[in-house]
Amino acid sequence: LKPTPASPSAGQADASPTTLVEALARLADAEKTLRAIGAGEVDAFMIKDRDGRQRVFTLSTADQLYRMFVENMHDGAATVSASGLILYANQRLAELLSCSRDTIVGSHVSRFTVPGVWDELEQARLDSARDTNVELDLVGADGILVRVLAGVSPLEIDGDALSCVTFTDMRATKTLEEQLRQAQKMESIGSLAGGIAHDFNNLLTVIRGYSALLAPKVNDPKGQEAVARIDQAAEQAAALTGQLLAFSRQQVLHPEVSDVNTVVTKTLTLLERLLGADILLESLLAPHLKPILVDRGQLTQVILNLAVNARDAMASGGLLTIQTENCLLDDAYAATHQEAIPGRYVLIKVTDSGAGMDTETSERVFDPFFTTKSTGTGLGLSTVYGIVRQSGGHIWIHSELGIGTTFNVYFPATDDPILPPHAPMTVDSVAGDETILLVEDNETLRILTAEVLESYGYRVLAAANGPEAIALADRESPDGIDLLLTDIVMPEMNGREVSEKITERRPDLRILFTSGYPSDATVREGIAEARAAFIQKPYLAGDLALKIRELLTNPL
Amino acid sequence: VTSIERFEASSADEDGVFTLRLYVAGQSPKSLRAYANLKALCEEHLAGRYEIEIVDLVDEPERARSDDILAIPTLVRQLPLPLHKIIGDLSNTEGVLIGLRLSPRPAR
Repeated sequence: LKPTPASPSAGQADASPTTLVEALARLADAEKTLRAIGAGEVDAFMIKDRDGRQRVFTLSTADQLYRMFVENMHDGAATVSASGLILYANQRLAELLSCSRDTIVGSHVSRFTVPGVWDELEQARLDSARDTNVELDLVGADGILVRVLAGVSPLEIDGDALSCVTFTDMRATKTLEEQLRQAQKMESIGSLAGGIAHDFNNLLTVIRGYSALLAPKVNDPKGQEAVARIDQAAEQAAALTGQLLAFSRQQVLHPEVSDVNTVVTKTLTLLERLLGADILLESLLAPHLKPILVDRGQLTQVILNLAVNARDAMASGGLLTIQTENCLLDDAYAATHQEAIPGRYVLIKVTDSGAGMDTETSERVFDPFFTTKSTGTGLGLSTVYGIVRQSGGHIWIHSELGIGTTFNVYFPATDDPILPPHAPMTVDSVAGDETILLVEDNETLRILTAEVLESYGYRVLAAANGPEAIALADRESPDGIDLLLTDIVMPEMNGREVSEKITERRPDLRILFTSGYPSDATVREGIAEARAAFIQKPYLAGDLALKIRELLTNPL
Repeated sequence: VTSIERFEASSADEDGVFTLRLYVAGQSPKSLRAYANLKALCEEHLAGRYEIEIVDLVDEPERARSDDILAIPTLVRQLPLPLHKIIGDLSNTEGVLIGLRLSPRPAR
């Protein structure tokens, strides 16, 4: 309570009664006082101390300490009567409700809540007769909803049923929860997409393999065209499943220590052709950029996809800016950005001056097959998301309707040196006569692959699983097998275990892994780490032959 | 203007501004309650034509003399005259309305 300044007119009457009228008035006061005391409506009295000075004797001076706590705490606090009248509010509650404490005190709770909320709270309190925690929306004086966690504690004083209520601002927590939910959604869509891609890849490998085997056997030109069309369609489908795998973070990456500016500069020349004349391309590349560990091909893909997205947002032209800079994401940043881990990063910022997105769109922008365009697969940004996350990075979107959109892509910085690129391998001919042990659990694919390899002149030993492959190998002489081609994901024994078992007796054996879906993270990492050879399904007969020839020709 | 004239003018003007002085003892529970009750009551019955002066006797104990304050909280109707004193936390709305010489609002 804030006292009003004393007015000069306040009288200074003597306390001792002099007239009958005054004496009667005093008697009436005394009666009223006794009644008020009896009703428990007073909690302080004026008394005279030894020096004859007036002072207040209050029954409740002991609460000063606690009042200090309540006044200074970071949660809103209020005392509410049984009828819902606010008797007390602390400063923090006034801030939450964007009005003064004077406005709050004496008002009914319903003035600051959505209709019905107070009744529910009261009911909850009556039902449990204990502390109750409820999430609800407060309505500020400015009409803005404030999500709070209300803790209601019943308190009975002199027969009055009061409620002591604290209000914790949940808005920051809510934002984090939303982000977590979004991350979990991406995770589950990712595993679903990855699963579908795996099955499709096996089918596409069969389609493309048989169309390659069929092509030379068809003499009729119309038939040849039909086979070519089958292969074309399967190739496009393979590209789609490739994007799905990228999104689900299940493609095998080949990370190298790279300079982002070099990759961006190379990509810029591609972009100029892609963007068209009405879009101005600007690049602001920070010098002394820290290197990052990334699959360069995939980084190029990220920049291209973001640029294409930016282009499509600027139907009538505009400015596309690509910026790079070193940056530090601190604990405070990580605390408010669910997917971010504190540390040093290289930031690639792709900004357009296009239409911008509303919140609803920007929340769904990475969902596979979500698109606002009449053309397009809805996989471009999903791929970006997958690649960045699989590379340990983080993406943050800032978009304003009518102003434009910025994608902030963060890749973890590294202190490792950048290595010169490997010399490309040379292969004279892709044919050979060596022996290949093939392990593949999918029967159609196994028969096809054997046929393909045999058509290139190889001798093929085909096994449907690990134990069968080991049994086959045991029957051959120690140098009777030159290369092991094995699927990674198989029941009973996975490709890695098969290769370990067989190389125990054959240390010089060349190994080529294949998979449409290396879902087991340790297997995937093992391949990347050992720099073991890998070919992604679906593969072309020619690519498989080339890969095998490379492995057999070049020294270990 | 003599006090008699002022008295007559004020009492003739029950529809004029009510000047109310509430004596409190810091933030004691009954003081807080009295203020909350008073505000709610004024908003309902005297909207736009009341002034509340808060006197905190913890800070200014000497001011208790001017209205002969004994127990806290106490409300004093300063205007319109004559003075009326209501002792307690003002939770008995009907009693307060009578004390302030305000007739309870007719039921709608």
